[in-house]
Amino acid sequence: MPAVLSSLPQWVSGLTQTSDATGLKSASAVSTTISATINQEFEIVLEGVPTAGYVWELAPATDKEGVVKELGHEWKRSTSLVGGPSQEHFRFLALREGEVDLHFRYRRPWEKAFREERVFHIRVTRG
Amino acid sequence: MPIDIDTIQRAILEQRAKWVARLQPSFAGLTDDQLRRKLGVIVNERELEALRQAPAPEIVKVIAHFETSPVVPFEQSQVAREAVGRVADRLRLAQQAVDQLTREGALPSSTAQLLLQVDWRNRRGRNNVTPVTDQGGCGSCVSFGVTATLESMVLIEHNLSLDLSEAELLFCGGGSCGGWWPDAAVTYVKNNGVAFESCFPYFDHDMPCSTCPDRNGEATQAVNSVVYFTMADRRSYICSIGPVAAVFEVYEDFYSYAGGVYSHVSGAFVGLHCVEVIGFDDVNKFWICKNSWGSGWGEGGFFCIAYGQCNIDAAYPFWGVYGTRWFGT
Repeated sequence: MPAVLSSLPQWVSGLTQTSDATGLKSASAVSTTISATINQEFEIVLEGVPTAGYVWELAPATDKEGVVKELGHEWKRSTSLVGGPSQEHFRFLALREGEVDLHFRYRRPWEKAFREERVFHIRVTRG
Repeated sequence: MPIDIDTIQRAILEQRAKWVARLQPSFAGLTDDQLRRKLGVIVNERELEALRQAPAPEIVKVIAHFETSPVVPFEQSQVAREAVGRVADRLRLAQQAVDQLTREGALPSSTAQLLLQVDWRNRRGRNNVTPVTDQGGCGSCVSFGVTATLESMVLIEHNLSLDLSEAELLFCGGGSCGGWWPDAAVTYVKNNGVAFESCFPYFDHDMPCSTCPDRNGEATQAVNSVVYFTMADRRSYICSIGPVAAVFEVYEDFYSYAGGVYSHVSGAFVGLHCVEVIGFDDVNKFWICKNSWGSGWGEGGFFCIAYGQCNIDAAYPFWGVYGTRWFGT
């Protein structure tokens, strides 16, 4: 597991993989492997400080075979304080059987360097 | 994926916004050569070398081009430019005169409301804004916004450029990288003052309060503070006293700001941010602000935001501190 930035708030822990009532799977940054079945939706949640200019970006072209499809991205604030952290929720749909690594980079969009990278290994099966 | 540049630029055009968005964020990782190719620039090394070897173009040809240009449009544009220049000169002179009279006490400070444009980077004959800083990855914008405001007031009131400790204000004042509120920061400035940066250097992660033992003799305190909610009060204070700290809502398109007057056109709300407001323009209706994302962002670290945008002058007040002095004196 990559080192957690000390400036970031506590990562959601113990949520390696869960399902809510709708069957949507959710994985926190602690998890590195997510298993899903075809046509199942899953979510990757990453926490950061967007008002410091930093956002999580999904690196392009990591899924050439189309194992998963990104459905959407939304923000959820972790606090009402000024400058406080927020969570980025990336939602995906498992499309076909296979495995893929999703690379997320924590960076300021106008800077070339990234501060941290997280890789999620996705394994899609027929179920 | 977070919002892309094409969406932002389309929205800017559709909504006739007056700002410029920079390159697609995903291009940030590309080399200069890859970037050129993405932009459609095909670099032919042979042609490039031929260009390098070619003699410099002759200036005579450029002059000849102007001589053959139509005369009337050129004169018209020249006249227009001169007229605009004359109006701008008069405005500048009027502003300097009001400034001078206000400073001498010949005019009440409320007269300063007459001013249409204020920028504390060039006011009273000098720059009253300290260099752009970078908060890094910590949610410490409140400390940066309030410290920048305090530093500006020391410049305005004492003509001293100080580098004060954002770390002390944040970590000794009860804040953290998880966010804070300007009210608490202003209270600390009034009650305790803020030590020099060298006394408690800033790093962008949570730290225990560890300021230097002799900080009391060196800390900078502001005796007075104000909180303003109305547009008239906000402008009047910035005109007659100095910069303020402000809070506004950040949306995804704000990352792409590269110049002009920002207004939210696209993208989701990501959180609340605190900055220093260093001036305004009543003609074009915007605030001038200093951000804490380093000088590589925006216009050298600064930005302009339209009145009424992102609740900067509606839901949240402006916080001002003045009457600066050494702590305890």
